[in-house]
Amino acid sequence: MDWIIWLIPAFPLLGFVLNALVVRQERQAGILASAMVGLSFATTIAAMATLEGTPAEARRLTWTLWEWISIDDFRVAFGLLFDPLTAVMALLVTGVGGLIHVYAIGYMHGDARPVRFFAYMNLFVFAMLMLVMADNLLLLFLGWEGVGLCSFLLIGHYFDRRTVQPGINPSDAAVKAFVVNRIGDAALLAALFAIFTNFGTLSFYPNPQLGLTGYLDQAIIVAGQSIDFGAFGQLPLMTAITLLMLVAVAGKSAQLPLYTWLPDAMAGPTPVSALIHAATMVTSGVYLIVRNAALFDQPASAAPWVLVIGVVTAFIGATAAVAQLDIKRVLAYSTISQLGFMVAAVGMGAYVAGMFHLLTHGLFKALLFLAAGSVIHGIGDQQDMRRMGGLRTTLPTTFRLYAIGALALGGIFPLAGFWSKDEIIAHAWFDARSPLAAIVLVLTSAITAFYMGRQTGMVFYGRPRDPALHPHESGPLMRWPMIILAAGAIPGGLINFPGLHWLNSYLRPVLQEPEVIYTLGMGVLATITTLLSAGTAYLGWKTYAHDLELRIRVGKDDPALRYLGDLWRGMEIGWGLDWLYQRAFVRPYRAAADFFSDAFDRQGIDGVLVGGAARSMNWLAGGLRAAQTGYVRTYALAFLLGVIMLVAYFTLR
Amino acid sequence: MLANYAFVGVFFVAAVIFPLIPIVAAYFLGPKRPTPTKLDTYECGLEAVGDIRVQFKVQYYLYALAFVIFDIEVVFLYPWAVAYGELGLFALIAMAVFLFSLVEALVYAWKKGALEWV
Amino acid sequence: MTEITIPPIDWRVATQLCIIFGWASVLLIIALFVPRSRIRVVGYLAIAGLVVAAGAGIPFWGGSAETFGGMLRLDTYSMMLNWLFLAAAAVVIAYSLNYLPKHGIEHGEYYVLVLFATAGMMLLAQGGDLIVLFLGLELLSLTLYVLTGFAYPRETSEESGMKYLLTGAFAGGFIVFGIALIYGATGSLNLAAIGDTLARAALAAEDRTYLYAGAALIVTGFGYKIAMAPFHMWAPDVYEGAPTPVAAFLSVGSKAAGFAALVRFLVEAMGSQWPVWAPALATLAIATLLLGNIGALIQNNVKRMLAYSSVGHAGYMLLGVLAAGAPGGMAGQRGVEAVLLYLLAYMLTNLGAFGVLIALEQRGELTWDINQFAGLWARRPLLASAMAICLLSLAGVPPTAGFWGKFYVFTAAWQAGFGWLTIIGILTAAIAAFYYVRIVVQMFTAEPSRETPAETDPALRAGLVIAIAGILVLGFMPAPAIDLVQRSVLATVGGQ
Repeated sequence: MDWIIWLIPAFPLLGFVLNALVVRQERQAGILASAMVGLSFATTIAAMATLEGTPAEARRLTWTLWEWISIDDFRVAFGLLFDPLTAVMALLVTGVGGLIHVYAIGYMHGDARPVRFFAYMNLFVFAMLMLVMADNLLLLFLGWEGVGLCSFLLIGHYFDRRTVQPGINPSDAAVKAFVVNRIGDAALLAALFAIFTNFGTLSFYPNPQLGLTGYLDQAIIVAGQSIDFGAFGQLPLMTAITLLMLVAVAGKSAQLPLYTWLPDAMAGPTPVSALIHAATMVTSGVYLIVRNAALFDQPASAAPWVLVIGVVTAFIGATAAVAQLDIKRVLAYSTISQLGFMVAAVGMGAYVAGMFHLLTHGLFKALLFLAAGSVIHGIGDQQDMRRMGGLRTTLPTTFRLYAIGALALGGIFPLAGFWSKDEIIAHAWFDARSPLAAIVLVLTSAITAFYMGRQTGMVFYGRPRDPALHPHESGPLMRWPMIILAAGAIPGGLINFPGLHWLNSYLRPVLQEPEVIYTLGMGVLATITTLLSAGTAYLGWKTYAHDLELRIRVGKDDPALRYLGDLWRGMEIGWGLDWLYQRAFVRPYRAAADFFSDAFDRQGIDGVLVGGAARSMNWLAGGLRAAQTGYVRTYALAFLLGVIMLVAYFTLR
Repeated sequence: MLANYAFVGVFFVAAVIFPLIPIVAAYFLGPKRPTPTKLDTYECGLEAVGDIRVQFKVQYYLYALAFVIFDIEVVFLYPWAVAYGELGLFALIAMAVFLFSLVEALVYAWKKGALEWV
Repeated sequence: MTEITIPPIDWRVATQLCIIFGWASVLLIIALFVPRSRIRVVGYLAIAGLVVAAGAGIPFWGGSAETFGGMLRLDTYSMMLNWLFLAAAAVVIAYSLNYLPKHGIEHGEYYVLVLFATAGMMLLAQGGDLIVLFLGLELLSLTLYVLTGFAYPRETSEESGMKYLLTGAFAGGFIVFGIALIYGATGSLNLAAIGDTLARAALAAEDRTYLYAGAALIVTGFGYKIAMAPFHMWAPDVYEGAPTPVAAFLSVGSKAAGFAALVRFLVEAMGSQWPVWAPALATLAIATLLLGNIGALIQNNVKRMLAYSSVGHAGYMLLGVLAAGAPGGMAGQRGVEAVLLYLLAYMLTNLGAFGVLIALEQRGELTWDINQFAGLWARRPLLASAMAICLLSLAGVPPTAGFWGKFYVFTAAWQAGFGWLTIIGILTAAIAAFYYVRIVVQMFTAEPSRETPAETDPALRAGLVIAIAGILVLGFMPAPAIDLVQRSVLATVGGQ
């Protein structure tokens, strides 16, 4: 029965193929795509039931279809793995994914290219499932590239619009996402080589079908080794591998310094933002670290760096979210910040806490995006929060659902976000003994509550600022997925409730993490955090729903700008990293391209040579002169220089 | 080793000097009594007309190429014919293949009209 | 008078060559008597000949033999390459069947010249002697000069033919000089004999100078063929001006043949001198990687971009060549395999990409600006998907053939101790993705700027289907191809 795990990715793949080749109707495409993800979800449940029957010390199902590549001792299986860690990820991907697919049937109604949209969505689910179910790093890499590709295609969905709100060109945003992600991909590939050359295998765990060994239980092999950089000193091998993985994580999970692509990725349709750029794909970096926990647990690993990157990203993302005026951009920066929380957690070695937050965040952030989509949809495709206001009365269901999501994200007791976020903070203070990280995270948490309060106040409270809007509530196809997600976001904390530790014990076969013993101190910390958050949330809400409400004007700056000035501007542009990259890379690239094409490549073929030769047979005046003043001379000169250098090297060596 | 190549250099120098000697000798030894007729360009006894830098018809080159190929063929045929007794059947076949490819080239050129004077 | 004995000839070694040579000669005459309106029959006959030649090689698979006093070899390495050449030639002819009449350049000689060029490539793969390698190189080059200028009287085609001729003659001269120097130093032209001489005893200092100078010149000559920097500058111009099927043939066949000969020369003859040539070749590989990929990065002309990208790909294959020479048996074999697998993947991919280009070029000339791909997905979804798959394969994204090619090359280079080179390779591959994706963006996410007519015909579709299927099969199940490549060994490497 182990083979049924292959059905999990097979259904979405089938959906993609059918949608790409056969289906022509919008309705059919949506139903087919949703049904396929639903079937995949059901299969995941079945596989989890099967998983329960395996012994705890080897709790995993594997099934290898064929030997993917075999070069002597380098053998890689085209095989899937299903263990508790994979199970929770697959559950998130297919569960939340399925709901978002249903929602998209309503949201994408009337779109210009709905069939293509659903085809890509199914392809994404397939690639994401390959990523989390791969039994080796190479197959994971395939999924890794695959989700990047689907993300690229879906960000560019509205390619026929020159700009989408707030002034992003979808094609540019897609390319940006792809290119930035490629940096991370290259790092992952390099890590893959380093792992193979040192462990001789890429499988995570021993593969019984092919008789392969796994590298995760052999992490000790490379403990003492290091790479020699000559004059630059030495780098322990484990540091190098984990550092490369960190770069990959920074690319995919939008961490410093590579997070700039995520806010622009909001150019895609809102269901895409919910599924790919909030709930699943961007969390694959966290999954990568958790899966390779055995490497990050080594003393020489780059785990401290992971912690630093995570904490700083969390803080910076949260501050940037405060000053955004676009409803989706607030959520995008919030996603960056929350991913920072997860990365910080796994950097501290609190893998279960990281996974916990990954799961709850997947629920409530998907909910928030869908609710935001419902707002956008309901007021005629407007995303500018300054045009909204007072929507509480006209969109009551959406408002309630949004409020649940906002409270969960803000970490207010007793919603899901409170439990998972607090577990990370508690871990930072008590177990990891890094009070600085804990304090920054508490602060970030407070800022998070503030910007969610601000957003709720701006969107749903106050007076309706744009008389041109005629809000209407969304249909049932969009409403029900949100209600189900909200029903998950409220008690979501239960999955790893203090004292119950369901997630902890479920993941124990993979992560072997001891249960956290709860102390009074933790309770106090949690109380302080949630009170602080509740306070800032109220502050944010009050400021934007009452105090400054009258000064929010369409097309004008945020009223807080006059109190914070340049600081606010900095937050508004995401601390200028984009600006910096534009100056440091994009402009020099354009300049260099112009220069080089001018200097070397003006017009290679221009008819000078032949035209000259044909016009005149005069040996001196015509043909040869054209050849001498043309480009062939340059080529021959370069050629000759090359030869001289080569011969000189060989003979004078 | 390098010394072995010395004779190439000597040969090269000799090859330049040898034709130069009669020309230089004629220049110094010969009496010079120029008349306009004597200074005229020699062209097979005919009167020279026009500039020497004229455009040749491209057919000249096609003819020349065909000629050179069959000229070279003879160079191969002579030694082959001399050693034929020793070489036997294999050499016959080899030469047949060689001749066939030449004939084929001729047929091609002929059919393409390369031998027609326009 | 001494008896002249003719050593027995092992005809197995020359079977494929003889078929191609003989058939090309016969076709040349046939083409003369086929009426102008039916000239595509010659193309079909040429494909038939290629298929027969490919089939004729099957019974000999597995062994290794040599004849003509070691001048001609048949080992699994050359057989594998021969099949690659034959397949590439067949696909190129299939592409040309409708391309030529549409552009008014349909002549029977075209197909014959492709066959002769194929024979030249096979000589380069099978040659066990420097003279034979030179012969193959010249046969290949001369036919390609003509093919490049085949779109007479289009000036761009003529010019590119002339540029190719001028620079090619330049390179050819260096090779001859190099061969002479090596003969002077070692007293032999046979690759295996040279290898033996060099491995057994140290040469006198003077001879060493000649040897290395000669080797440098020969590397230059073959480097020109594979478009290795700084001998690559002809490639963009020639690709741009040449008829598109010829550009495809140049980019796969000619490059593969150059690599075949380069590997044979460096491994068989110069294998023992690896510590000497490896640093130089590594430097050239870096230059090739950088110049090719940066050159492609700044291109708006798709044909030129593909040319620069082919320069970059030569850089990746050079990593394999470096590994191929590495001492210690296994690493060397790994390198040879890596080059072959990369060639296979690269051939499939480039043939596919150029096939799409040909489909776009069915009605007259294009400027090949990247805008002309705009919105292709909306109008020709299958063509656009095919192009996208090819571009992803060129970029080395899994699961495509190109990924395995890069992966194998990087593994081989890493194992041979070229860690930093591998890292440069990975980085340039990451950069390279950018310019490939630009075309994908144009095709999928841009509005159609204007009507670009695209047409396919059965032969072109067949070629495209073979290429795309090959890319995907190799991507998902590379095991058979890797198995084939692993059995393809240089006779001397296997025999040592």
